Amino acid sequence: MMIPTIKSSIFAFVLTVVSATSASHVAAAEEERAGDSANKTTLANAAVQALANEVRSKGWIVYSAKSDKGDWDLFLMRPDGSGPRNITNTPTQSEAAPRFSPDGKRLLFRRLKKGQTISHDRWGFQGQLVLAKSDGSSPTDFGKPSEFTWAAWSPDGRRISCLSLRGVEVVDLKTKKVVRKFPRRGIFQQLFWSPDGKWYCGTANVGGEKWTIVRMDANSGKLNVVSKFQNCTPDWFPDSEHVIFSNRPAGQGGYGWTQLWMADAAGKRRNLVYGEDERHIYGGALSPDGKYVLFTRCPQDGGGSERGGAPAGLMRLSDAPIIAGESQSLRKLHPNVKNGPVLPLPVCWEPHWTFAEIGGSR
Amino acid sequence: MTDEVPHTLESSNEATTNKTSAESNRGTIVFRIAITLLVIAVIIGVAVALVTKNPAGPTERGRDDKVTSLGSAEVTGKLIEIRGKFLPNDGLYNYAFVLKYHILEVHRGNVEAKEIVVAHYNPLKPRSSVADEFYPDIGGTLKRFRAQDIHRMALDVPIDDYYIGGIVDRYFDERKGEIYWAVWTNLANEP
Repeated sequence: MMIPTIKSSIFAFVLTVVSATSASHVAAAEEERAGDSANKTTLANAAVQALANEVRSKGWIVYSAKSDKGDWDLFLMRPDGSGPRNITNTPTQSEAAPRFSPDGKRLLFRRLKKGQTISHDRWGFQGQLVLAKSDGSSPTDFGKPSEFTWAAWSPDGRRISCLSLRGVEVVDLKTKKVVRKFPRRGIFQQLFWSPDGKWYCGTANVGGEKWTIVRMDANSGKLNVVSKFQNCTPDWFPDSEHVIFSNRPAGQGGYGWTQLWMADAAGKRRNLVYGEDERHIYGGALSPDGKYVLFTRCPQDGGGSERGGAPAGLMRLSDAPIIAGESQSLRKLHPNVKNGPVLPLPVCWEPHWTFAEIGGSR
Repeated sequence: MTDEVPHTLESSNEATTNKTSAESNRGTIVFRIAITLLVIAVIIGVAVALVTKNPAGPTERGRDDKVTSLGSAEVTGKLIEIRGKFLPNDGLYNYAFVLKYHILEVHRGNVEAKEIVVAHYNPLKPRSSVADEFYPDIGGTLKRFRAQDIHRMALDVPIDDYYIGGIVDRYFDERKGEIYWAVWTNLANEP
């Protein structure tokens, strides 16, 4: 009986030692993993902080957001999200969709009745066009409600282009007279004039497809397709040669998620800029030097304007494409992507950026 | 007194029973007359309603003040098919869907083709509730689109002069004429 007892004791001792060693290794591995994770988080935070430091002094972002009184107002903030301030403060009315003039000295936006739902893709037809200084002061009604729809600045800031059933009309801001008019050729929303004045981009019915991004030659009116099928909210890069837009690609299984894309304006090449499953990405806008991209990330399609806005983000274009979150199916389609950094910005809708210093602002 | 009382009571009961029976008979007759009149009234009402709805054959079906006055043309046509599925009308995206019709009758306006394509706004919605902030003057009695149904429609053309929005046009590469914009759409099926 003694020998088995000794053997049992030795076995138990060895087992205890092995277990203890193994446990300590597991604990060490867990610690290491936790350390890695913490390091990664620290690095990610550092990368985001570096991005914030990089953009902080680069002008101002104007955006629409819900005020604490429940209406939509316009706000200014530094590109890192610091110093936000309400520049309209009109509790009985809403203001939305601001755009800086090319020189950054003025704003155009639309004023709506308080409580009126802002249509996520037809907002340009709603409310009244208002022009103001870029700090929101001296707001001036420009026409009546439902006039000067989809107003967009000309490159020199002296005219606006408008899109309506009548076609595309170029309006002189001093005289309010239409100085040029031409057919819209299927473009039905989000018409924007290129910085070099030679082109327009917009969302159009072309080729039987729905929600196609097109470029229109400002002189001849000739169209070319930039991106087909379920696109919207196009806007120009500063070089007038590329367009940024939102696209909900087919084949995602179900409704799908809207992603931010860019393309050369001739429509030959498209690239993913930012995607994130379970978020619809809209409001794509470039910094004036074309190095940074603004966007909004909304869990509900259309919720950016029709609910309460969506968290915004800022990234370097040189870091594109970025895929955030797990986004397993999206990562399979785009295996060579980055994870960031993305600088989180306040909840808003349709942000727009100028490098100009704004009078009345610190 | 005690003998007479039952007799008196019996007589009284008999009289009461006879009176009740007579009243009951009168009530039954009145009830029958009322029911007969009601049935006649209902039959007349239904007949009037049917005649009003389809007063005088094909040219009058689906006719109302709106369809006869809105738009620049008015036709009765058979919906040939619904090509593919409608997109959702969940309040988020609004669109016009192009449908192909065989023309049965032109009531007014200049529609020469035997087949035309017509864009209907947000086709999953009943026409009575399809009008919105952007297109407040469209409508009709049609509740849902079914292939082979006959519609009486007030139309405008070309669509780009009347509608500015997304169009789902699955006839793009084969249609020859302009797309008509449906202003008012009534069901005009044969009875």
